[in-house]
Amino acid sequence: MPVLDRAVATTIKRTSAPLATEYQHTWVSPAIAEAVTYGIDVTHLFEDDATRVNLEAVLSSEDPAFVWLNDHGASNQVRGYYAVNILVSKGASHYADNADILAGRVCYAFACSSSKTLGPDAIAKDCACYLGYNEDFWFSYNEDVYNQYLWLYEPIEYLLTDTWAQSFFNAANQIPISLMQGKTTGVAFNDSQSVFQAAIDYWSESGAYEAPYILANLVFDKQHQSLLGDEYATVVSSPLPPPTCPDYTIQGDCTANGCYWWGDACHTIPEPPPHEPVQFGAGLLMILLLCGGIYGYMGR
Amino acid sequence: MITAAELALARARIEAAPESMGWASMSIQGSKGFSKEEILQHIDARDSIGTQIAAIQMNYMRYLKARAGAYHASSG
Repeated sequence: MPVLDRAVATTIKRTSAPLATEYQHTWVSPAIAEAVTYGIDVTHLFEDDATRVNLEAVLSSEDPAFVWLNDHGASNQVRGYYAVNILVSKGASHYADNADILAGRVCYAFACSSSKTLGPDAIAKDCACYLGYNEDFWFSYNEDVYNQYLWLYEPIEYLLTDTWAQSFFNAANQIPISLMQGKTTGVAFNDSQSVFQAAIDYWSESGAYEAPYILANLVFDKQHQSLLGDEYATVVSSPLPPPTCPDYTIQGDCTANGCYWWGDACHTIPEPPPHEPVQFGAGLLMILLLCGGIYGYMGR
Repeated sequence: MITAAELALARARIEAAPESMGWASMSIQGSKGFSKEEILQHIDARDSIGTQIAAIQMNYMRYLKARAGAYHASSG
């Protein structure tokens, strides 16, 4: 039985064609660093440590319940350092299938398309839950920001100022963040979908020149995010109790869970009917007259 | 399968994008990032990247159409 409160994560910064992994590493690493605040012990396999041999060694020695892979992918593979496959299923060229290493674990593959073949294969080999994407994950970025980083030698954290890319990575990071907060895989998936939707709503209303292009990618990524396997799996030893109605802060989540949205908040009961206007007039006048009388009497 | 008319429509949309708009994916083939000009070249070449970007644009237009339909249905 894999060990709860323990995770392994991979990120790559430089590959043969680095832009996407530079963005991903820069936006995902702060989320990995957040793990400590939730009491999760994460082994971060970064750059040349992110190899198949090291991943299998960590899974064997530390037996983490949560496997969080960040790199390029295809339907039957997720890659690691220098485009070498780290996790593969049947038919991925000459690499031996190792999807069975996910048995009993929750896996989130922030990579393209691996939920098509690799995910179902892992589930068939007893992976508890496989979260990922069943098509390519496209994101928008601002070339001015990237060129400033690349040619003017800004630190890589400069990519965090790219507000066009931000919406994509915030939504994608929500799955592991929710899992580490103790939520179930199903709730984590829904949380991520909600963050996608919030970004879609934001850009839809922005009227910005770039908005339609960002929106096209956001809508596509949201549609192709997927959960396979157990939607009640958790990766922590003290999972949060299921959310109650007041916990929902987004109207869609509230109503989708059988709660009632009114007064800008989520409630367990429907909105009460409006009260009949209370006839204060006559009573209030009597009280005022009485108070006035007493005051006048005492004033003598 | 994307049609020639859909490709042309998607191309027109991409042509109107801001000059600094970039596209990148976590796919093993889309890793380096693509400028607007490069995306237009891929669409013209009708290769896998060009047709995928065109399909994403068409998917968004269908999403807008469905949303508009839902809005009109709900507003009677």
